[in-house]
Amino acid sequence: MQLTHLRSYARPIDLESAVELLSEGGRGTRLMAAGTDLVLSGSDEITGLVDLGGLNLAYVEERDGAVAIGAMTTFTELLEHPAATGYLDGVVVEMLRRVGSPLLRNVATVGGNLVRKQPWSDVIPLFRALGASVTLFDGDVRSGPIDDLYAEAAHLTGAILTEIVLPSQPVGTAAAFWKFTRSAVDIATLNCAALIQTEESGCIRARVFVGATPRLAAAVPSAEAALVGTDLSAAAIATAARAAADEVPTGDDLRATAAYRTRLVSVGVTRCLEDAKRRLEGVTS
Amino acid sequence: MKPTIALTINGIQRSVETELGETLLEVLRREGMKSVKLGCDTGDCGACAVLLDGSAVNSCMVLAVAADGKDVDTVEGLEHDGHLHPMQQAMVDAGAVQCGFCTPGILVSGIDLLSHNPDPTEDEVKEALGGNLCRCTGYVKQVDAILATARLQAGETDA
Repeated sequence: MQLTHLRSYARPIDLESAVELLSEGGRGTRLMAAGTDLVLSGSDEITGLVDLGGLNLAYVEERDGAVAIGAMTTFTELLEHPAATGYLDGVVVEMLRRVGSPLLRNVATVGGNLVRKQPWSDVIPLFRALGASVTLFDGDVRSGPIDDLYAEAAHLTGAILTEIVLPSQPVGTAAAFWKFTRSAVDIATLNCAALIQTEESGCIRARVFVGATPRLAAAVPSAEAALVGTDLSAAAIATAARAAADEVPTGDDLRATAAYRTRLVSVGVTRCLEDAKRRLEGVTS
Repeated sequence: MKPTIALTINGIQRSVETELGETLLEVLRREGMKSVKLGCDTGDCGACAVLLDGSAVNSCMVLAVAADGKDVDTVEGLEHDGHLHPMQQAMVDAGAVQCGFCTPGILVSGIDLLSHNPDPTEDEVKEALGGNLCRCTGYVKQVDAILATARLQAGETDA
């Protein structure tokens, strides 16, 4: 038995009831998506669960180049959906296929992954690099940038993540994801996501995120600044990678030392940017 | 209070008593589905894989109460009239079973794969088995068995 202190469980069929049950449940009551991570946590603090499985939040829709993803959509549902396959050369699919195995992806949800804020999440760095937006419900509907979920002062208490939208991207934009793991199904030892937007003049926007450092993914402003205004030459990419290795704080855990991770930051940022650049060239040539 | 959940296990509707914090794995084994193996209990090994509403999942990562109303298929439901399922037979023929602990989970992943991709490549079979650990065989024979099943089933469709 994993959740030994669980005393109540409910699967509401509308958002209003879910919010009510959550607030009535008190401190030990948590929202549950698929529950894969929650169940394994075996946390004694969890005394009540509000299961979001009855809210019809599993869907993927293409909306004028943007992709709307219901928070309860499984990784498998998203990676098999044409809207995801077609988005920025399939970068989302490429990332999802590297998360665990089908046995996990068939049940784990996109929203659950974003909200659990696990430092090894592969979804968080990529979706932040893509500039996703999120919709929350706490009685009222609120929408805002995905970055708000991870801001220092972010408090999700009492709110339910209902939808994630990957925005339509301007022409000349490409993204890539990179991940280093000890085995194909292990969590990331380090991961990295990048988005670059270019015009005739060169790179006009760059987003670089590094995760599993072993802390939660964060933006790397020095690498982003090193790219904007350049032609994304090998030298510009090398400068950005060096800046990232200097800036990103890394730490030790059972998967790698801080020094090893710092090497990975440099390698990951380089490969991510090279991949994104190759994609751009593939599109424009 | 122990909640009662409704599960359709291998096509038969059952009303099953459960504890609130229990996983689907624990409930299925108590119901006699001993093909569902308790391996790592952390979602890593795939020995507890079952088809939940047709998709292969680790039953150790699913709370039993959350599976209320769903269909669960295990290896116990594969055999018909004393005949093994073609993939079971293919596993035997290929010599893909040694200690046998991983075999049910591999069958579940293989059957899920062929249900939506009847003609997989070798790489696709390997990806489908990504969450199933086998410590005896080295996977070659299981992959062969699943590919053989696909060929056999394609032949039956053509005939």
